[in-house]
Order: sequence, then C-alpha cells, then structure tokens
Amino acid sequence: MIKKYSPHEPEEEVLSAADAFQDAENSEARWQAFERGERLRRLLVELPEPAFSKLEKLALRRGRTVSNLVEEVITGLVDTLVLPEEKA
Amino acid sequence: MNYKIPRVAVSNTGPLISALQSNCMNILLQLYDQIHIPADEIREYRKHGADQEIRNLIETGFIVVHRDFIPEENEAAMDIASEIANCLKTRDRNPENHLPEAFAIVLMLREDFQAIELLIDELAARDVARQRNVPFIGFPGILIRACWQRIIEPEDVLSALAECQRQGTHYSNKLINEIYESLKVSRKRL
Repeated sequence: MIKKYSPHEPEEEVLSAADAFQDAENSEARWQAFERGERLRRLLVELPEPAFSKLEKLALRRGRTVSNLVEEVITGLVDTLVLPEEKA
Repeated sequence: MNYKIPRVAVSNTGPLISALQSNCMNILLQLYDQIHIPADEIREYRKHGADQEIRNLIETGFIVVHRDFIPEENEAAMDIASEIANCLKTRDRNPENHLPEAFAIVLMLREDFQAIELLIDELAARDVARQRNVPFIGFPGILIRACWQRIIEPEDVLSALAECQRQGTHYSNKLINEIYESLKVSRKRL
C-alpha cells in the first residue's frame, strides 16, 4: 500500500503536456551532452603526457577546450580512415 | 583512474513529493546520482509527511542539503522570491512562501556548481528560472524521459500521474491523458 503525502502547493498552476514533452526533450539533450563530455573526459584522462599538455596548449591558442579539439580530431580521423574503408 | 562525474540536479519540493506520492523515487535514483536541495525545503517535506523518507535519502547521500548560502545569495533568493510572488501565474503573493524555490534557483546559479538541471513544476518559478537561463524539468517530464529510456512503460506514467492527482497534486486529467496517449503513439513508432 502506498503511503499518502499531502500535495505541494495544490492551488498553484502546473505545466501542460506540451511543456512536459519540451522539458523531456531539453533534458535528454542536456544529458546526452553530459555523457558525450564524460566519454571524452575519460579518454583524456588516459592520454599520456606530453600529449595532454600539447593538446592543452593548442586548445588555448585556438580559444577552444581540449574536449572540443579532441572531438574534432577523432571525427576527422573517423572520416579519413574508417569511412573510406567502409565505402570500399 | 576511473572515477565518474556524478549526475547532479537541484530539486524544488514539488517533484520530490510527486515522486514519493507515486512511489517513483526509484526512477530518480536511476536518472540522477545526487539531488541537491536548499535547507528551506526541509520544513516543507515535514509539512507533507515526507520528513522520514527525505531523511533516509539524505543518509544515503542521494539528497544533499545546502545550508551554505552567503549573504549575497540570501539577498538574491529574496529578490527571486519576490519576483515569483509578483508573477501572474502564481496565486500566492507572499514572497516568504517562495523562498525554497528561490534558493533552489540560487543554487543553480552558482558558477562552481555542476548541476545539470532544476526539478520544478510550478509555472511562476519556471518562468523566473527561464529568465535566468536555468535549465529545468518538471516531474511529468522526468517520467516521459524514463519512458523513452524504457525504464517504465506508458501505463506506468499514467498510473504515477493519476496517483499524484488522487493525492491532491494539481495534474489535470487533460495533462495526464495527453501525455499517456502521446507516449503510446511514440512507443508504437519505435
């Protein structure tokens, strides 16, 4: 049996179904970005020195974050190496 | 080194009460690693009869209570509470009653605090949060996400919202049915 709890501010207006779906979509996008950042962070943690500090300097020079830079490099590598192989 | 950054959110009182009413705290435990709340919310949980449950969640470390507000943050919270009280979407014109959600917004605004979103249902407080670019989600949105992630079924969303409504939470039949019908349709498409 579920324990009963008195409602919180039952006189206040709450959101519509459209708001709820918008909430869920925005939240999903936020958490996907969080997970993407987490994966990159784990990858960076594994990078041996001096690779990480070189990347850090390069990112600083370009006004980017290390994560952005690594994402770009990996995307470029996949485009160059993996995709042509798949086409062939 | 294999540590994981925790999935952190801040919550206002409403969504946690809804989660308790519908026996859905397990969903929050799956979606988040930590939920931070301002100390001002504690007396509200007591008022709702949820004191013991919240205390248990604090003991496990899932809920983290903040009492560490500096004078500038107290002032900011007072301003935000007044703004919420003056909003057309609220019926409660007393800023004091909006302090818990105001402090929750202040927590979200901390630069060194890495919470991803604020859990909040009330329209007036959501408007004020939006004006400050604070990302938020309401309890129905959390259930929708859980359904998309196949943690629960559309029928579970329906019964959770209906149970909250039965216990007096202001979710309308229209809201509940629209969410249920949309989730059923989107499930068929997957």
